[in-house]
Amino acid sequence: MQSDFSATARTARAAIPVPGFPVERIRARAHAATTQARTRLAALVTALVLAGVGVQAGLAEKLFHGVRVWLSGEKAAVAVDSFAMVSFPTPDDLRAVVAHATFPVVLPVGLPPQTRVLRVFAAPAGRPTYVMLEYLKTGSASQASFSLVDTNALGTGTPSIPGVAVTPEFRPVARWTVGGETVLVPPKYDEGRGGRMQAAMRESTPAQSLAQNEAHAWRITVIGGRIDVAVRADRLAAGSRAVLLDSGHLRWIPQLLKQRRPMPDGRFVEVTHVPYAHGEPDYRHATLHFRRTVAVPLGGLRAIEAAMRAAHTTAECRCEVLFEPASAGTYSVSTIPFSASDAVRRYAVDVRSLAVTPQR
Amino acid sequence: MGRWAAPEVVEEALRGDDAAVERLLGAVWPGCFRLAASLLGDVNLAQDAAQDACVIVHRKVRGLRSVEAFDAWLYRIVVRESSRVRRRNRGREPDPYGEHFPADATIGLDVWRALAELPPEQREVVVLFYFDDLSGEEVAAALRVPHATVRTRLNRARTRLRALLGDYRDDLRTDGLEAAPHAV
Repeated sequence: MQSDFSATARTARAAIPVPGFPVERIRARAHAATTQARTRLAALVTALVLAGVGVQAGLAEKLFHGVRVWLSGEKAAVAVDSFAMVSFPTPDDLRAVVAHATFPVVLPVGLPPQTRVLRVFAAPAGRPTYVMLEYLKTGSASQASFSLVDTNALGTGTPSIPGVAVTPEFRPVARWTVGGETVLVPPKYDEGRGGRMQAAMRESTPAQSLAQNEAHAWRITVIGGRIDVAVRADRLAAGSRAVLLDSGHLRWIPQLLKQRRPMPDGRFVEVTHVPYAHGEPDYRHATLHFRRTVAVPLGGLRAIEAAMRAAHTTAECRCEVLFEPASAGTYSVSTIPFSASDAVRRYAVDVRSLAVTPQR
Repeated sequence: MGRWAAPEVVEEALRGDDAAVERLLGAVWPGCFRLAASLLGDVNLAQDAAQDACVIVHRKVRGLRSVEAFDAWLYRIVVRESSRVRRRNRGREPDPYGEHFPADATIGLDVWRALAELPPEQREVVVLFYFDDLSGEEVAAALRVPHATVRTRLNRARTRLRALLGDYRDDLRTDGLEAAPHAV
């Protein structure tokens, strides 16, 4: 039964004039939000990794900035209020983090050859006393994280976060020291391997450990995508200035072209003002600052669009795109299928005319 | 026929590209805006809320399990985004829909003015139950509250509306809320 009230209500509502559908604004916001959501997810992963060594977040009064670590026997309490993060770091990214640290950083050495660095965290961002590296052994789900702390910056006394009614909790860790550096790893870390790595790190210099880790870093810029595709793209790229784009980034290209904006490099983010929710750090509502670095210039985006049009493919291609900047008047654009058994297609795109030529 | 858009339009968006999603958004935009306007009592805030809702649909509709899930999902999003926009703009002087109405919609004006007198949680149930013709259970699902809470809010809202809208005192429907012991 419909009442008069319902009928009047519906009529009244139907009379509300509706403004025009702001499709472009919605599209732009959706793409920007997707990029941010990915980074938030990565930050959340960071949070989980940090939680492995007992991290609590500190906000309130800024008595410390970045990360503070307290040790007690085989336990550590860690509090964080901000950090900088780079995903899929290149050798340059690793060098930058190490160069600005307050201590001579000896990075983990003796890792299996298939290992890749997934993310690097530094806190505080500009002058880190805390560096964390997350590694992935490709072809397996095996991951490992190492927290490297300036021993001089370790907290003393009872752990506390001023102004926050939560005491950082001591949780078990495995740890060792290398010069002025304290290394923390989750307690379940394999003892045999831990012992070997400990010995290898003690025998290594900061420069040697950096050189070893550069081999585990990414030669190309991976702004998004699947690890297996990224590993194949890294091998495939002719130079180190290549950029790998996933379907989300490919979907974003028409919008960027319309706005005449380049594709930003979303790998760098600074996470600050980590709030508390129910006594736990709430990384999803932390503040994110993205570095304004260009991954693919406008001309490159036009070349990718031209190559995809010529290849009769779209962002839904179950593939990712490897873009290589101009060399001898042409850009190189390759489509790399998710399936390793499917063929990679490579196209040369003329810088001026955007004419596309399939390559062998 | 779905409440928001034809099922085939929703299905295309679930399986399709950005263009299909934007076709769906074009179809649901008037409904999103009017629902947000009804909930917020302010056309400018309604525009913000409807746009926020559409951004979420743009990003996440492809992850939806089925076409059938779309209607309830979109109701939840518009209601939630309207609440967020209201919280963000607490204390702001409203730009009421009444002023944007055609001059002959005097009965409509009564309805809006009465609605503006209700607290937000009662306004939500009234809008979804009477304006959108949802059942009590559908309202509960859209608001993510128990059915009993919907009944309580609706009964309180009715008492208030009866005082404000004498003309409709016998017309406030109760179907779908038969379990309410103190229903009108």
